[in-house]
Amino acid sequence: MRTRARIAAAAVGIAALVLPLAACAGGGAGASGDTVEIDFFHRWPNEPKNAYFAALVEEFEAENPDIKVNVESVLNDAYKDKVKVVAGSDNAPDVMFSWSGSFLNELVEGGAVMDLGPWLDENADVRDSFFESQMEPMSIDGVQYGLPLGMHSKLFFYNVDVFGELGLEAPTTWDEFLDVLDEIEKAGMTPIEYGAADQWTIAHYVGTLNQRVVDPEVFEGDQDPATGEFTDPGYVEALERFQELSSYMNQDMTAVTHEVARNAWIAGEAPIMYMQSAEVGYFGDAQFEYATFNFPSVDGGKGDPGQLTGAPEGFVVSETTQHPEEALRLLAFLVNKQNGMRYTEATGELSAVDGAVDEADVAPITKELAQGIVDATAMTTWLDNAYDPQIVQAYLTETQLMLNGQQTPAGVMKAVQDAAARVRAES
Amino acid sequence: MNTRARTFNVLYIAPALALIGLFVYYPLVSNVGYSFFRFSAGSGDMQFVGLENFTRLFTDPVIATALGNNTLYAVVSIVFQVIGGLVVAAWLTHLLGPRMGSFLRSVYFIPAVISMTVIALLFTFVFDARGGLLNAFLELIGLSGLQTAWLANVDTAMGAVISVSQWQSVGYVCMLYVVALQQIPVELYEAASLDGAGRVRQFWHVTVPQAKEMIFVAMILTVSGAFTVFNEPYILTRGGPGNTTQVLATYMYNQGFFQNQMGYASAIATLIFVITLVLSVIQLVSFRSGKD
Repeated sequence: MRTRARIAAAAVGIAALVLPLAACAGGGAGASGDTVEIDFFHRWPNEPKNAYFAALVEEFEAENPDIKVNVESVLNDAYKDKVKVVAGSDNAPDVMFSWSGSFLNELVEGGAVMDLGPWLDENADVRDSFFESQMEPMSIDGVQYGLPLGMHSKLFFYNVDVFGELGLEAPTTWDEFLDVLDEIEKAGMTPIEYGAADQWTIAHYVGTLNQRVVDPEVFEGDQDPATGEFTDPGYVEALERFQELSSYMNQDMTAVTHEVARNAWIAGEAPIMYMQSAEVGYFGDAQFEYATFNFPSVDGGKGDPGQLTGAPEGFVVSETTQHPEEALRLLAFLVNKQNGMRYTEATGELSAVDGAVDEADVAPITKELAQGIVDATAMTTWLDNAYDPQIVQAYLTETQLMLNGQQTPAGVMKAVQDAAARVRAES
Repeated sequence: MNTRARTFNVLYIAPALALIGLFVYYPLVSNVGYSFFRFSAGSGDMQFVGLENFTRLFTDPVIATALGNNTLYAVVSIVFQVIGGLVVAAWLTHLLGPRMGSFLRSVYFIPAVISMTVIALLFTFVFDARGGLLNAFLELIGLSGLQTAWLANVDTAMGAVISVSQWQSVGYVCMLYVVALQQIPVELYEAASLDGAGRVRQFWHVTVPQAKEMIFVAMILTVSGAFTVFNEPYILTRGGPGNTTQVLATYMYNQGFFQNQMGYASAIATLIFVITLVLSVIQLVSFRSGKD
């Protein structure tokens, strides 16, 4: 009966692959009369974004009666799998969501994404409406392939009430950070809440530590799959720092998902947690005041401590779209300033449109977070978006074992170097 | 048989053959072909790499882990489903009254009709590290020393995953046996008991030989199932922590769709196919099915 369960699973899988294809086929050929059908594919079947985009599309259709938009959405990991399969095909969705970094790179290499350059040259106002720093990650080798929807940053969120009681201040250096953690521990609390059952959370810690510790030139250089070696001793040191931090975290970290950890933080079980700016929207139940500090500098680290980890995400247009004009119209609508404000108000996430967050009706902390991103000396992209998936996989699984006490920092890097060697040989 | 009849026979089975050819044999063969290439799901670019994917199979430590896990899966499944299932079936059929027997039969069968996805999600609550049912139960009976993060502890994760499969599958295999045991003529048991055979001897000398065909079916089902298992480890642990609960199928999926190594994933698929084929043939030969 495991066989039957598998057959059922396979049937569902096939249906999942075939249905959107059928829907896409309708989009291409089934345009009736003067109406043009375009397909819009995003990764938020959950609320509040699902409803937000549904409303946006409805409004767009009302303004453009000649266009009908078919919306489809699946959640994160499934989205990654599915887009890789459909994006290169003739039935690719016209407008689709994309992360910046290696995900976008893969789509571009597969020839699935339209160069927006010529269109942006004609519509300079669209290009200029975004923060410049957020446009760059949505481009590859100077070619603009996508427009940013939201910008994201990773910060330590802390419980101001606890810090106040213990007379602590937000740390800026590693030593200050350790002092703070020691003090909290002395007061009988777990200092940092962490859920490492989701491997991407590991990418965020390690990616930031790598940037802080490793020589910037090496750090940049290793992002090139053709040359990346990961032999710099700084990588091992970064993992040792991570080990050091993990001794201040909840013991069951690898058994806990990020969401469970976040709820524990909101419930006040630990005063510090490393989270994304976009998560503020979930803090509704927090019974305490909270604030943020950037990842502290690391002694002897060669990277700029003013950098902030995070990257924008946005939308791209299919290279094979039958209706480029309509698709671009939808794209421009999705990320215009007014909708940027609405996006921030509806979801608590930070619009990448210049001024949108500032003018939006949101809590002061949201505006501070946006300002923090604008003020950062530079952005460090997520580790899982910076490297080839093979390297990412090795990095995350081995570091997860390290957190479990079953791998050493040097052992992790050995696995990463092996993966990097394979990637070099392939590119 | 004359030629005319033979032509007609071929015509009758042609549609079935065509369908099987298209949906079973064609993918099988083309998968083997794919395993000699390097390519990603997103692009049609295929690069011929010869046997590289296969040589990698032998040096990849995760493949060794996965094979070990699949083997453990097979061994535990044989003990619980093939052997345990038969014992339970004999108990249900011969020792319990018809009413109790059929009631319990249904109870044991219930897990088999629940979707594996639902079951796996259910068990994530059972095994949950914080306030999971199992840990709460251990606390209740005073064994809180045994509490652990079942799915995140390297030592317990695979066992936890395998136990879910046993829980679900025993009832199904048991049902297959019950059908077989009901076919056994009562006279055989009467004769055995006249000869002075007790319940245990009757089980060994009447039930087991008479149920041989069904034991064979159960063996094939559980062993090939153990080497192609995907749902349970994928939903419960995604192969983690690290790669400790990776089985061949989850690793294949991970390579193909996460790491973009479709060629290598095809090589792993080929390996799974070869293993299940070889094991099935071995069992076929050793049971000499249908020859008695």
